[in-house]
Amino acid sequence: MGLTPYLAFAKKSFLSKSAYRLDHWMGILNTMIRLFIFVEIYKSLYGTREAVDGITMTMVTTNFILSLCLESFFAVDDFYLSSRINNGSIATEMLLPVSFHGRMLATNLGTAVFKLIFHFIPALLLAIFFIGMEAPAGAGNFVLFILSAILGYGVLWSISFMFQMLSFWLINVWAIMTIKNVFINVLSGSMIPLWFMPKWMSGVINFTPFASIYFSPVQIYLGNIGAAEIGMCFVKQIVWILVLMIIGKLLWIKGQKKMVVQGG
Amino acid sequence: MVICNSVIKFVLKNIDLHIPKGKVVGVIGASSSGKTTFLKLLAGLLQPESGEIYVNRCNPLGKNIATLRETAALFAKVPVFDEKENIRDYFNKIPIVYGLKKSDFDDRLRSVSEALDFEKYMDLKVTDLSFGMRRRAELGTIFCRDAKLYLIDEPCLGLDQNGKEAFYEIVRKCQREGSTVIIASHNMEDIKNVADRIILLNEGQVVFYGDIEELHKRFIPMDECFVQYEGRLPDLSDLEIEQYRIDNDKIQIRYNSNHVTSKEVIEHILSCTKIKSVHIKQEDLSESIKTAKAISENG
Repeated sequence: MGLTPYLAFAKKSFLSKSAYRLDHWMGILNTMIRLFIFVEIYKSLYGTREAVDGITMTMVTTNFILSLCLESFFAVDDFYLSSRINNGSIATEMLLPVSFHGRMLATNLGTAVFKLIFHFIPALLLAIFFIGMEAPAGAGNFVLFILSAILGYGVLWSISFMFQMLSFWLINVWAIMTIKNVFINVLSGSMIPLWFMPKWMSGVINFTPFASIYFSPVQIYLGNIGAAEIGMCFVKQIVWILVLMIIGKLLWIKGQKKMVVQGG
Repeated sequence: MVICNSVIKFVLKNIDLHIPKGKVVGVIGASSSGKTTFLKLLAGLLQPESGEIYVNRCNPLGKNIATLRETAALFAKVPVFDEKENIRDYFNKIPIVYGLKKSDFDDRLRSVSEALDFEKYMDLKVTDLSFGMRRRAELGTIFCRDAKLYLIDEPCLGLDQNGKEAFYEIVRKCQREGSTVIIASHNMEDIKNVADRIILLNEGQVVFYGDIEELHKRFIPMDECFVQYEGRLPDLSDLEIEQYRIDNDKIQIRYNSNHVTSKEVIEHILSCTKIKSVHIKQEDLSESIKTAKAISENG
């Protein structure tokens, strides 16, 4: 038993993703278009200036390329639980001798690995070729960047996980998920690099989980922050994952209680 | 196998039951008499408001892995298949999820899919299947693995006669292998072919729990006997019967089987005259649901 069923779920989701080819090509195109637009906007904002507040144009470009490409493979199905609650198949799931969360994570990871190989890498190569970006500050930074990106996915997944648990009480979680995603887009630096936020605001954002998703890995990649701050970034990511997962798990227990008491 | 101690939940009131291992039990009752609630309690999908339930000595609510593996449940309203995938994809997942040996599972699946005749639909999506075919495939999902307890809600919904017979055959096979099968249905006739015991629910109360013969005696004791005779008219005045009707050489006799047996009726007629043909009709078991309701309404 052990991990085998979860690997099978991940593999299944990996394979089923490959069935939707058009969706996949459109996804890459979408990433490229957004990247192009963002980079062009900042190019015209920069004009002839070398740097703004010590941030060079290439740093901005690198931020966009990395965070948009990461975003392209950070796959989370926000409606995994709610769709199952709405059509009633949650009861079938409850009767399976595997963990629901494990299955949910495995399914998402399968998709994520697919997108990492067939979306992230091609998009990144295209971006490097056509737009160009900075090399990592050092080999160590690059390794830490990868670690931090994995934890970033963990944070993103935990946020979605926690919000999904609201499906037990709400018939439609679409609005909440949309608001959540707007928060992620704006506050994670994938739209507006957090360097350009007012001081007080970036201070606040630093204490939210959003900065830990894309911005921390980018900062590490660029070598903008020192060893102590890098350590702090990792601590923040891990703490956020734990906090969100614990809240999510508590909501899950409460939700299940509601289900067995009130019946579906 | 299943023990209920004064269980209360929604419409169900004070359910006290003990279902031994290896029995096929039919749960019958009118709509909203608590059949599905009863099965969901046993599956651990609902928590009793009070009372205790043990399935194989465990509380089904605990959902421990061993209990989940030993129970196979199918509910009428709960979708089984993912609309995006083939029927076969779903079946391929079962041996992985339950940790079964692939070759054993494939053999069993082959025999079940042949019996229920859904093999040729394996590569379709559930949305492409007719209601009856979907039902066959759904039944396949629980019978394709070995479980100690099968819980099935309305199995014959949408099944044609062939499907029903295949289903009975599989249930009997499971019983021979020592499994306990609990089937809920509003249609008594679907169950009487396989069930050893019947639980009759009326507005959440168990009004009867026992074998079918007993149910007949208690709730639908009226039998009818059609006799075609030759020779002189038999004298029926000494028989304890409800009513009779004579039509040329045919007699229709209605009697309470608790008071007089069919054997006695026939022997009595034989002693008076010659018989050309006999036909005995027991009342439809579904009548018991009506009787139970009538009894409870009249106190």
